[in-house]
Amino acid sequence: MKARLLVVDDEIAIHKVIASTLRPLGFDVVGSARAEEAISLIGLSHFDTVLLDINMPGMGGIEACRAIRRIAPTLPILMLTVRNSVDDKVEALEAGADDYVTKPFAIRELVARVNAAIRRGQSPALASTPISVGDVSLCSKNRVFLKRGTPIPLTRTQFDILHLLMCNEGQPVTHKKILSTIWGAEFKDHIEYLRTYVRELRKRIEDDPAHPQYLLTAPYVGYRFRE
Amino acid sequence: MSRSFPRQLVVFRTGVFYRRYSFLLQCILGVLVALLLARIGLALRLDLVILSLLFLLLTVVFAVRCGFWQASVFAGSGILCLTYLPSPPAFLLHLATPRNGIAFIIFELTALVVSRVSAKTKAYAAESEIQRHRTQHLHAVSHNVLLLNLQDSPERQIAEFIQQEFELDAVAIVTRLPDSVGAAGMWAREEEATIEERLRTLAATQSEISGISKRALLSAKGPIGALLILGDTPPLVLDSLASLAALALERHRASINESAAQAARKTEQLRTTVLDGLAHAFKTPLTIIRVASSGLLEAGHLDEVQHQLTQMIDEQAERLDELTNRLLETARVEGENMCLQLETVDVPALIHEVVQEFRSESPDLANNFTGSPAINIEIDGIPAPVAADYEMIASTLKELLSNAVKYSTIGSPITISLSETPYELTLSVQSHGAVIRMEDRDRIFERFYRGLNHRHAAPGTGIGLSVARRVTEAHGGHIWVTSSEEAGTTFHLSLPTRDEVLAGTKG
Repeated sequence: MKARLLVVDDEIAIHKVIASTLRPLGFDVVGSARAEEAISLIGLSHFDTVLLDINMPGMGGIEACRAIRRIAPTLPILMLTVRNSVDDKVEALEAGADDYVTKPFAIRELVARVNAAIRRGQSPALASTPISVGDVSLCSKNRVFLKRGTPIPLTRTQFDILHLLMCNEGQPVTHKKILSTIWGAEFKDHIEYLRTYVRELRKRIEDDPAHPQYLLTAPYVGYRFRE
Repeated sequence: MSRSFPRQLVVFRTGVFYRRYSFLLQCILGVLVALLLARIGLALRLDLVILSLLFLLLTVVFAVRCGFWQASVFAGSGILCLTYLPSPPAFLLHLATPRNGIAFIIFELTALVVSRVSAKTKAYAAESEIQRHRTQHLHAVSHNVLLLNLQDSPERQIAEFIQQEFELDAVAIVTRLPDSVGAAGMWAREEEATIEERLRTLAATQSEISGISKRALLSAKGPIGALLILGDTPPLVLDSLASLAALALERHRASINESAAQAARKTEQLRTTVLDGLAHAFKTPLTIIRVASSGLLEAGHLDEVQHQLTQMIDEQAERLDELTNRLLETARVEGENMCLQLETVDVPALIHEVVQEFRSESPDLANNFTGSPAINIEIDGIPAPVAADYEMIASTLKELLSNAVKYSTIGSPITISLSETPYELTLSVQSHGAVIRMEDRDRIFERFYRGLNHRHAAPGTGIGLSVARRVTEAHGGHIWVTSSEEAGTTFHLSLPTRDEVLAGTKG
């Protein structure tokens, strides 16, 4: 079955070029220039992934992302960002986006991200027994990180990264391993990309993100979760 | 209106005449009243006791209304009249009984006591009235200086308020840093340049100048100027005026500074908005070109020439994107108040992460091809964390690393090290390659400048190091280069480890 994509961007030329290049690669692309229209489209029919431009007149991408999350909690959302600023990406991830792609991008990168998002969306639910390490635990049922009894909600990607690290409690997991497990083999070299997620995760779960207690850097190798 | 004018004039003239000769007139009036009273007493054959009491009453009235001397004149005339006319023997200045003599002394004493008391009360009332007027004027001045027009010279405005309110001959306010003179009244009519010079000299001299009162204007930070007044002003009022003027000037300066800061903030906001708009404007067509070119390559069906040409479009679009990023980044850091997002940064962790990223982004380094440089990290101990913008410092380090790779001799290693003093943390990137000429060592940090030796050797824009310097300086640190045949070329980047150094650059 063809994967259905909803592209939301105020530039019509972007829909056109994405639709023209993705159709031969086996995608069904629907374009929308307005966030409000896109939200009603999502309510009406099924989509496998949404590509959402962060910078749109009227209802912006971040606000739209929150609205979509409310009506479709599991629908993978990929934000299209323009600026190279970390703030935007962090804001997008906080609003519930699963991933982001920085404009301009090559079609191969976009396809890989879309496929990774769809794959993660379809992956079976992880074991429902919580993983506990010391005074923290990870509950897969409602994607919550429990720190000394306080629940911290996580996005799907954040949950997946923590899950992987906590399963390997104390052992460093390489950048490549994390990137290829969560995003796919095509992403094994995108360390900067992983770093953005780790920084955002640290902000959420650590008491002092500058001196992490749980999510530690393993120099030269990758990351590990504290024993 | 025209009819009432002469009447007003008459009243005015009478008023002036009365004020000038009031004492004499009151004395004459006293004598006349005494004569009249004595004559009436005689005509009506009034009892001497009643007449005396009447005289006593009028003496009191004169003492209260006019004063001691007027009352004395009236009392004296009264005594003479009473003695001469109604008291027996009539029409003779001779007292029949000593009783009358005592009565006259009582008159005089009463006049004396009452007029003294009344004079004191009057003087006190007059003083209170003057005080009330001064307070009213001071209040008016303080009210006016609160409503100073920000566009106009505050010195002149304050001087005018004081001069008009207190009806003084002339007032001037001379300030320092910024130097300014504001004059009102008589001396404002002189030629501006000369009077300003003269007032400045007057304000600067230590000695007293006759007719001119002078007070220093003191703000919380010390003296800011002087207040000069030509005209009669009591010292207390002068002090109040000086502190009022100083307060108003200080307030005016603070509000000027505030509006300057606001304007700077607005400019910075505008700058960010324009840059974001530009980024969006550039990135949209670039995205379309890249998606189209990479889509064509991905779809296949191209012959060799078409494939090559499409590949070129794709590569050049990518390059254009990189250049755009650089330009936008430069424009962003060139702003007056570069916006740093400060956080506590663990520098060794930052170095490790940047090197990891750098390795993964350069395929040659990642695959350890022969000839690609090895990157060593030498860090001893645990250095103090610094308050810095992580992304800015990371991209600066990446810039230094990519420069080191670009300009070093093939196969030579690159070393990153950290050193610490109580005040700063210095990050050094050492590589071995051509020595940077002495005259180039400072200029390579200028925008678009590339060393003569390197202009054709390696690709680059000449923007990177200027951005690196701007970023370092915004952090309150500095960046410099040392270069020699033996020690190689080392770029040093120092960051302050104490938070207060950064306080000024925040926001």
